[in-house]
Amino acid sequence: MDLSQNQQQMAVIADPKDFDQRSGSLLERLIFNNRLLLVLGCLVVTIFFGFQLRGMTVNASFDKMLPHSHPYITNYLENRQQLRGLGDSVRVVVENPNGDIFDAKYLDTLAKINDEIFILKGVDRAWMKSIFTPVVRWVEVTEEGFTGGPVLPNDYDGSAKSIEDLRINIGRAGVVGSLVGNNYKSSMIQIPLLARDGDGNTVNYHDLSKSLEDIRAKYASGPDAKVNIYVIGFAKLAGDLIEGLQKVMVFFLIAAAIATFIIYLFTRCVRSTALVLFCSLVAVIWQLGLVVTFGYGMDPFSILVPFLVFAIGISHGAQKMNGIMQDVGRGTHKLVAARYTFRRLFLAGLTALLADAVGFAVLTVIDIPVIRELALTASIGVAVLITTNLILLPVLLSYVGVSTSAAKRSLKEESDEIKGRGMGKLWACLDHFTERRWATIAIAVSVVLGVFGFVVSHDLKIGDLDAGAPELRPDSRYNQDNAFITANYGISSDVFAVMVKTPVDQCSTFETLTETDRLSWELAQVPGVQRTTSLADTVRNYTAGGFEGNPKWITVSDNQSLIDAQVGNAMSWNSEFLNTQCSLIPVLAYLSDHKAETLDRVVEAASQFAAKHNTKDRQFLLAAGSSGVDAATNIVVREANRTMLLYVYASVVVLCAITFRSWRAVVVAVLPLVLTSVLAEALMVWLGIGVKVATLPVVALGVGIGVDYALYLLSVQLAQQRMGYSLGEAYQRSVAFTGKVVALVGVTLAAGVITWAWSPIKFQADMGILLTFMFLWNMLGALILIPALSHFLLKGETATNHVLTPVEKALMPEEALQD
Amino acid sequence: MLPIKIKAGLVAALLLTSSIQAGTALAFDNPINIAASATKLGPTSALLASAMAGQRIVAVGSRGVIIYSDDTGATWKQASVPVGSDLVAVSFPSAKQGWAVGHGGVVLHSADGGATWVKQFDGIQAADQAVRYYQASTSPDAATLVEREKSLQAGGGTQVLLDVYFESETTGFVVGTFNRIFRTTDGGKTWTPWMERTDNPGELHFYSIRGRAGALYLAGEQGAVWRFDKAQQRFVAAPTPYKGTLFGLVVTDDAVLTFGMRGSLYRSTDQGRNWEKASLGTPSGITGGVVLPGGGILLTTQAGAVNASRDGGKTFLPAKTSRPMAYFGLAAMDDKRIVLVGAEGVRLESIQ
Repeated sequence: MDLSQNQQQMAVIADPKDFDQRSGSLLERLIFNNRLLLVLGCLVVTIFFGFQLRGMTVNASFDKMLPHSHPYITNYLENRQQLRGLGDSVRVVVENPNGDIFDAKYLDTLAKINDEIFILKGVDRAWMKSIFTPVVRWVEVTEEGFTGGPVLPNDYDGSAKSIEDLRINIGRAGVVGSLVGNNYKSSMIQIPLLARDGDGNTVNYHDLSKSLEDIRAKYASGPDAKVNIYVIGFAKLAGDLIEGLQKVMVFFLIAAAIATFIIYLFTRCVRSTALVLFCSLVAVIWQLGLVVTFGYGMDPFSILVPFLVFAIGISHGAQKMNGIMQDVGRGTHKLVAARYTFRRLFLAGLTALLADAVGFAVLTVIDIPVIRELALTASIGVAVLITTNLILLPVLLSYVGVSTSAAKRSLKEESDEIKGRGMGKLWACLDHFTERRWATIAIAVSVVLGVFGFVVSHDLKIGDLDAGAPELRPDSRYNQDNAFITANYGISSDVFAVMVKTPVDQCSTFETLTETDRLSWELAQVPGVQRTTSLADTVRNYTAGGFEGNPKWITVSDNQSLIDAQVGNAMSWNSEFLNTQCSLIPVLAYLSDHKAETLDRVVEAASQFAAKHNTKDRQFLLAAGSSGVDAATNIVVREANRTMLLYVYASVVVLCAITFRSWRAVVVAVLPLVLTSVLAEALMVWLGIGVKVATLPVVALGVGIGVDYALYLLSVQLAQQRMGYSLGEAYQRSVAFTGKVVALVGVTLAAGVITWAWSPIKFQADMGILLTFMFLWNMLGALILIPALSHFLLKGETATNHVLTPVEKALMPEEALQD
Repeated sequence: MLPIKIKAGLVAALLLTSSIQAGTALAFDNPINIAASATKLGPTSALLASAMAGQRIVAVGSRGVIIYSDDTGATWKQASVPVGSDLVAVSFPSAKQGWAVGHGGVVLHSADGGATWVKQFDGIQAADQAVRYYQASTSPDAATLVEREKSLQAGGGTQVLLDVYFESETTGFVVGTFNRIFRTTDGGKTWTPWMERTDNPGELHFYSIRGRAGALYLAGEQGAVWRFDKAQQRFVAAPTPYKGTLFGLVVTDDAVLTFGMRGSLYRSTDQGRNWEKASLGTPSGITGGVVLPGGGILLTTQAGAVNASRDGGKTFLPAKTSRPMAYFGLAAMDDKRIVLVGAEGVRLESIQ
């Protein structure tokens, strides 16, 4: 195809009868000559997926956030069933705001709450612990031997005497700090959860969380509330996340409203605005429908995909409008104009979408199921967009058309811009960056920013930095509850566990327990470790108990028979510190926080100990507990951050190289992205956001989607240059034609994600802020740095004889081609 | 199917590689043989006993931890200790010379006021020493004692030493489980078993040994107390009416007090011939006692109480401490200031 043929093909045709139905590519003919069939097909698919949406589940899975192939996680998952103390559980603390717990009214309320929780679905009733459950016992040595009983006196009747008995029992049961607050003003109900409830279903965190909220509402709200209730535990956290997700869904409406507004501003045409919105929504329905069909649900990560799909859909749809408006404005019939648009933009759109897909696809290098699912669902979304926004949209346009006045307006605006009026002034301003002085300044400023960002980004932390549950905001109800419980009980929610593994029945040997005790002591030395505990401590205390409570016997005796008796007791009193086969002992380290440095230190200490003390029959395995998972995740994330950047940049370079066929152009396209990546890291430091599971996709998406701008701008600019225009002219033409689209894409993408900044889910907010920054900054970088860098690198591209690549041609403005 | 020989070879090879992979660690190190690891947690982790070495405070505790302070508890240093065993008692007859004992049957000695320690004796040596000594002894009980010691050895492990008392820089006793008692007269260089010199046919554990101005007492299980009879050179029974375990002793110029589990407290003014019951009014175990320079007596309990007597131990009144914990023992700096040790470390308190 040469230029004249192309011109002929895009001629203004007012009557579809004059249009050669057999013109255009095979794909175009296939689509447009069977328009009705295609529309009907899409309708059927949309209805089908619409129905599928009824099966949509919203959940937050703990397992999916684990990096499964990391050895720590493998160790954890292998032994998880044996780790009772680290299992899934909820803690409810009931506080008496008007005194201590030795108050008949308070105890009465506590009893009711205890009973209501006891019957909730999914509660492992046999193991539920509170001062009101019979499994919580006190034991004492008397001159006659051991005596003991439940902490709640058998004859408890709320009288002053029985409350006094309770007080004594609490003292001798040693439950202060675990079931009773250190200040005696609150007590705790520990609720272990079943993996599967009576009906064989996995526990529904949302329902459980809601039931707990109901109990809280019943007893702890209103003016006559007698108690305060605090709830923590993964099930509650997951419940809160799901609540948060439902709120985030509302954000979708806001994002859609903002997008509608932007599109309308751009087109000033109700019909096209509605059409773009419609097609993007169809894309979202298909994407979600496919996700449901494949058996996935919505989680806090994958909920972001519809937003992205919608935003990308909107920006691509708007781009279609740009061309069609002008064709219609010139008098071309809507069907013909739609076909021209398809002809012109299909390949370019495909390239851009493929670039986006690359951004998503590299995420699969991260071995964390939520990220992989995100990558998968996002890829599905992009694939769907090819159908809905590159094919269905032009087909629908051929029926609906656009408003004539808007079309004329668009044509006028376009020519104004070419002549430097209206928005054209802005583009003209950007042209200056192709001149030496401005180019030098722009690059100098960028270098300064880049160096500044690079220096700052050295303080970039790995992992989560705030206290409490990092998924939620520090001031969320959950984290306030968590802070209260951490302050009043001797427990921290950050637990790092090392598993001591021995052959069956060997966990109780003097050697193993001594080594376990050593590890526990070693970990206790690490700064950031508040306290450590293990079966060795249990044996120490029980041994002393066996000798009339004499503290001189707080020891792991080298007389095996003394140990065996106490391990037997631990076993029969349901200790959480060994498994039923006596082959696994967890050593728990309670940490002051989950900062990466703290975790690194603990991992270092534990690994060194393991390397020194592992034998064939006694293995010290890292790691379990929330902090063990955090540590493994940090290691994986740190690694993945590097590989992912490498991959995403490699793929972007390859993509640009194929498109531009010039290494200089690749440099011009990629350097602004690098600057954005560096500055994004600096922004993370400034905002106190660490590199974590949630921020990994952001970098990939930022670069993958960010390169779109360069693809649009540089393609046209290079094409112009290769047609013989000077750099200045080429850029002027390029920016006049695509500048608006670039700006539109940047703004619509940013509008799609900025609403996340208000998400109650902390990592979504972080993602929203960072993505917005990257989308906007990439846009600015492209508009300013591409001309500036071109000045130094691409002046030589101006040539005399050049055959346009199809992508270049597709993006070519009409005027340019006519020149 | 592979021939059995090859299979066996494969298995052996697999075992070999897996054992190599499994780790480089060698034999298990018994705590009595390896030094206590460095720790900053000494002042806040479980400490079982404290003593004054001149003006220096020394406290001993779990996992071979010994800490000392020269500035009345403002700062603490960890002593160099050659064992990682749990230490339970310490005695300083002078400012420089001190001994500590504990699990594993270890006896540690310091000649520099508690900064560095050497191991003089441990449970394995003690058992061998007892067997050798009684095999060579002409005592009528010798054969029985050899028998007993051998059966304890056969039971595995070591016998713990539960208390130490040095009346001078050269002469002292260590006592422990199953009638275990050794004496030294050369500052711990050699230890002589004294097991035949006790009226302890039931082989009760000795939990405490204390003396004052020539008087010397032992206390142990089943309410048993023994008085050292100088003429007979043996410990003669001076039992209390109590049937539970006695944890400790306080010896004053004119009385002896013994205390133990469940708040039990007995006092004698006739060297243990007659005991009268005293009470702190608490059901929790009494773990430590000390005589103040001015004659007052202080007792600590596991429930975090300090009780003071100004009448030689007849009556006690609670003394307030700033931050109670489960107390395991105490030492007096002077009439006002005391060093309390317990589950949460060491604390200095002033007593009114």
